[in-house]
Amino acid sequence: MRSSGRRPDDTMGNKDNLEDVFVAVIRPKNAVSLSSKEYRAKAYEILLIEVPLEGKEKKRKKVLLGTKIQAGGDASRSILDYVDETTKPISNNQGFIGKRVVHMKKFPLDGENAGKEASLFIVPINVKDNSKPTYSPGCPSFYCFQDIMRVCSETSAHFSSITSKMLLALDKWLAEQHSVPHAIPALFRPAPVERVKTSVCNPAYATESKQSDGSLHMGYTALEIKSKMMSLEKADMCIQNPLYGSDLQYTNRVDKVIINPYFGLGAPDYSKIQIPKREKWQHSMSSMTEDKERQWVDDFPLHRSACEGDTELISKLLESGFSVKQLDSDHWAPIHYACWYGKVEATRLLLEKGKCNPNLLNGQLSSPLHFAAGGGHAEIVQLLLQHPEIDRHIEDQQKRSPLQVCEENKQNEWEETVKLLQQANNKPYEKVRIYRMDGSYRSVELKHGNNTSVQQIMEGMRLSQETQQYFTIWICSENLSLQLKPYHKPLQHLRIWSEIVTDLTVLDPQREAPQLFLRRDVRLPLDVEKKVSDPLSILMLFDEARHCLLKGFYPAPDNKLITLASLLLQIIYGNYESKKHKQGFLTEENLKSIVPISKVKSKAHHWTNRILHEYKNLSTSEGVSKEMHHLQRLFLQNCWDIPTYGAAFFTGQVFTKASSSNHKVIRVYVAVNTKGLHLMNMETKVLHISLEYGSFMWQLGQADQYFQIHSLEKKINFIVHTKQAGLIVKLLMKLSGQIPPNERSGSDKYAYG
Amino acid sequence: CVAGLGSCLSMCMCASLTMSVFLQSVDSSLGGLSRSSTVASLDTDSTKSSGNSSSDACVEFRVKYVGAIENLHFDMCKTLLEPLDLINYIDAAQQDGKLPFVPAEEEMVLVVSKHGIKVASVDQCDVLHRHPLYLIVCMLCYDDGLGAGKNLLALKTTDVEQQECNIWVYQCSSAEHAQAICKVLSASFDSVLASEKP
Repeated sequence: MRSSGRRPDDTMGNKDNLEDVFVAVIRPKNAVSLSSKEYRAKAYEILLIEVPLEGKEKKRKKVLLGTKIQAGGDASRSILDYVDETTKPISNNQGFIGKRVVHMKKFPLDGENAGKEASLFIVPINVKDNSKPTYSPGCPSFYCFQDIMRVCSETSAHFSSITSKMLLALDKWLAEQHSVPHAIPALFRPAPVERVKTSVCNPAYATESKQSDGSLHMGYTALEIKSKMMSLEKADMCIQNPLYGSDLQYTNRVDKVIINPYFGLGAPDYSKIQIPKREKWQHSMSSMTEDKERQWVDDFPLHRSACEGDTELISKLLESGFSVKQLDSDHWAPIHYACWYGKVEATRLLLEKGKCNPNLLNGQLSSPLHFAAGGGHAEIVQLLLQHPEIDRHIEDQQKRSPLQVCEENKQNEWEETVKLLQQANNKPYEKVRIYRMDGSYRSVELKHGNNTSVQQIMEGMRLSQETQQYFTIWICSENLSLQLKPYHKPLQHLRIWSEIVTDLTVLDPQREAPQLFLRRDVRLPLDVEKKVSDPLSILMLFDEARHCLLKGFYPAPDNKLITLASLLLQIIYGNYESKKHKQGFLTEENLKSIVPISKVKSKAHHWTNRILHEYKNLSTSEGVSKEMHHLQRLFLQNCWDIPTYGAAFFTGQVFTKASSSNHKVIRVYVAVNTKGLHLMNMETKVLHISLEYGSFMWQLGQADQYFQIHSLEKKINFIVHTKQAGLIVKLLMKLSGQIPPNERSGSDKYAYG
Repeated sequence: CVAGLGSCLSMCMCASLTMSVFLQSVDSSLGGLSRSSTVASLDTDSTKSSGNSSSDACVEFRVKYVGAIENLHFDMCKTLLEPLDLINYIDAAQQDGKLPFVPAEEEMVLVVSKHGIKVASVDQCDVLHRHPLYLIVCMLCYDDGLGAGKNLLALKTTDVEQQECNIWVYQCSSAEHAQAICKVLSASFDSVLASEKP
C-alpha cells in the first residue's frame, strides 16, 4: 500500500506523462458501522458507473471510476477534484468531497494495455445522508457493496475484468482494515483541513514555508535567528573524563571504613548525645589529607628534598644536622624517596655526605636497592652497587631480590639495570679485617655488605668447629670493648661506633677508633677452657691472656706475676742460656713484654733476679714440655685462678667518703666473668673487691645510670655510676645463670651474647 | 545606525515582556484543568533569575508518545511544508501501519524552554527525546479525528545539515492543552531573540 502523497513512480516513460488510475469512492451506510469490529459488506456503498457492453446494446456492465492524472503532480488533489466533478450531477451539483485518498494497490492491465499497471485509490466520503439520490444517465451511482460483491467474480459479465479484480481486492482490504483497531474510524475521519488547530513555525526556518517573503522576524533574518538558537546549544565549559575509553578496570576501592562502635548495644540515650560543632567536623573532613600532606612537608624537609632531588637543599639540611636515618610517617627514610623517584645526585649526596647506610630498610623492609631496581633507575643501582657496604643479596619482605623486583616491574631502563645487577654478582666482595690479639688479622669477605652478621663472619674466618665455639667477634676501641651477638651486624656497629661511645661513656668519640677482633667469648666456662687441647685455640687464648696481663687487667700477687713473666720468657726466647740471659738482659723494654705495665716502673726491677731464676728452673726442668702450646697452656693454667681472668671490663666511678666533708671519686674497672664481679682501681690496677656469684646481689639504678652491689656476707654495699650499668647487670644475670644463655632479646643493642 | 540599534533593543524588551506575560496567561488560561496534567511547574526562581526572568523558564506538560517517523529524505520534507500535507502524511502512515493510531499508556513530561523541547519520564530520570530549539522546524496541533477529542501534537525537526527531517507525534488530552504547548513554544522562539546575549 502506498501513501497518498507519494508520486506514482512508474510512469516516467509515458509520453504524455499521464497515468491511468481507478478510484473506489466508498461510504458507510450509517455511523454505527464505523465502530463495528466485524466487517460486513452491506454496511458500505460504492460508486460505480454503468457502461454499455460492447456489441450488445441492451446489456450493460458496471465499472469503477477511472481517470488519468498527471504523473509527478499532486495525485491526491487531482483525484479529489475528479471525484468532486464526477459526482456533481448526482448530488444537486454539490459534489462529494473525499476525505482523503488512500492508495490501495497496483493492478496489471490486460488487453490493449497489457504490460502496464494501474493503481486503485480509495476515497472515503461522508456517511450516507437521507437526501434522495439523483439519477442521471451516464453518471455514477452508489450501490450496496454487498449486492455488488454477491455477483462479482473474476469471470462475471456484470463488470469489466479489471473492475472485478479490484472489487475483490477491495473487499478483502476492507475486511483487513476492520481487524485493525481504529483503522476504519481513521479511514472515515474528517479531512485534515477540518482537524487542524494550531501551527507554530520556527522563524529560523521561515524560508522553507510559504510565509517567507524575505521579511524579517522581529528584526532578524532566518539565518541570524538560527545562529542565535544554536548559540544556546553551545557549552560554556566542557570537561572530558580523561579515563573514558582507557579500558582501565574499575576497582571498588574503599578509602575509609567507619564501623559504628555502638552497633548492637541497643538504643542509645539520645538526650546524652551531642553533635559536634559544624566547623569542627567540616574542617576535619575536607582538609585531613591536605593537612597531612602539608604536615609532612613541614616535618620532613630532608625527605621532601630527596623526593624532588633538590641537592642544594639536601646539602644544607645535612649540614644543619638532619638525620639521614629518620623515618617519616610512612616509615621511609630520605634515601628511599631519592631511589624511588630516581634522583641520582640526591642519592649520591645522602650516601656520601650523609653517610647513609645503603642497606637502610624502610618500615616495609624494602631497601634503597629494591626501590632503584624496581624503578629501573640504572644509574642509582650502579651507584649503590659501588658502595663498599652494599648488600647485593638483600631480600625484601617477600624474599625477593632486587633483580627479581626489577624484572617484575620492567620500569624505565630496566634492561640495563638487570645487566648491572647480574654483573655485580660476579664481582668480588668487599672485605673486613678481623684482628687477633697478637695484632695479626684475617680479611673476611662481606657477602652481605654491612648486613653481614657475626655468625657469617665467623664462618668466613674458617676456624675449626672446636675453635669457633670459644671465640667470637668483639668490637673494640681504645677504651671500650663490646662483645657482639651472633646476629649482630658488626659493620653497622663500626658505622655507629661514635654514637655507641657517646651512649656508654663520657669519652670523646673522635678518639675511639673501632676495630673488629676475634676474642675469647666471655661466656666460655673455665671448666670447658681447661679441656681445650687444640693448639690454635690455646695460642689465641694465650695471646689474649698475655695482652690482658700486660695491660694490667690481671691483678695478682707478685709471685704469680713473676711465674707468668718467666713463662713468657721461655715462650718468647726459648730455653734459658746463662750467657745471654744475665742480669742486664731484662731491660725496661724487655720487661714491658713480660710484666704488667703498672709494675714495670715500680716493682719489676726488684723482680729480675727472681724472674730469671724461675726462667732457668723452667728451662732446665725435665718434667715440663717445651712444646709451644704446652707452655702456652701452662701460662693459661697460671692465669685461671686470677679473679678477673676471662672477664669483660667496664668502666665506672665509685664515690667514697674519705672524710665527713669531702667525697672522693675513684674511677674503676668493673670486671664481669663467669666467676663473679670484680672492682679494680683504674689507675693503680689494684683489685678492690672481688665477689663471687651467690655472695652478692645487684640492682640496676634509675635510667641505667648506676648499679648497686650488696653483699650481706661481706657487709659490702656500694654504688657504681656508669652509663654501662645496663650492660653490666645484663651480663651479670646471664653469667650467673639467671638468664638462659640462648635467649635472644631483640632490644639488646650491643653486647654480650 | 544608532536609531536602528535603539529600535532593536526596544523590540528585545518587548519580546521578553511578551514571554513573561505569556507564561502567566498560559497558566491562568488553563486554570480549569487539573494542574498535574497541564502546567506542572514554572521553574522560575525569583532570586536567581533577577533581570533575565525568561532565560531559565521552562514549562512542563503531560503528554503521551505516539511514535515517530524518522530520517525522512530531504525531497520528502519539501512536500511536507504545509500543515495539511503533514497531517495527511501522518494519517496515511497510520493507515499503513507505520505509526500507531493511539499512544502507549505511559505518561511523559514534555518540557518546553528556550533550549527546546525535552520529553522525559514523569520522574525526569529517563530522557526520551531532546529536540534542540534550533532544529525544530514546526509544531502542529490537530484533532486525531477518532472521536474521543484527543489532540495530536506533531513536531517536525531536521538534522544539523538539514538533509533529513523527523516527525514526532505526541498525544495531548485536550485541544487547549495542545494549543498551550504550541503557544509556549512560540514564546520560546521569541524569547531567544529577546535575550541580550546569545
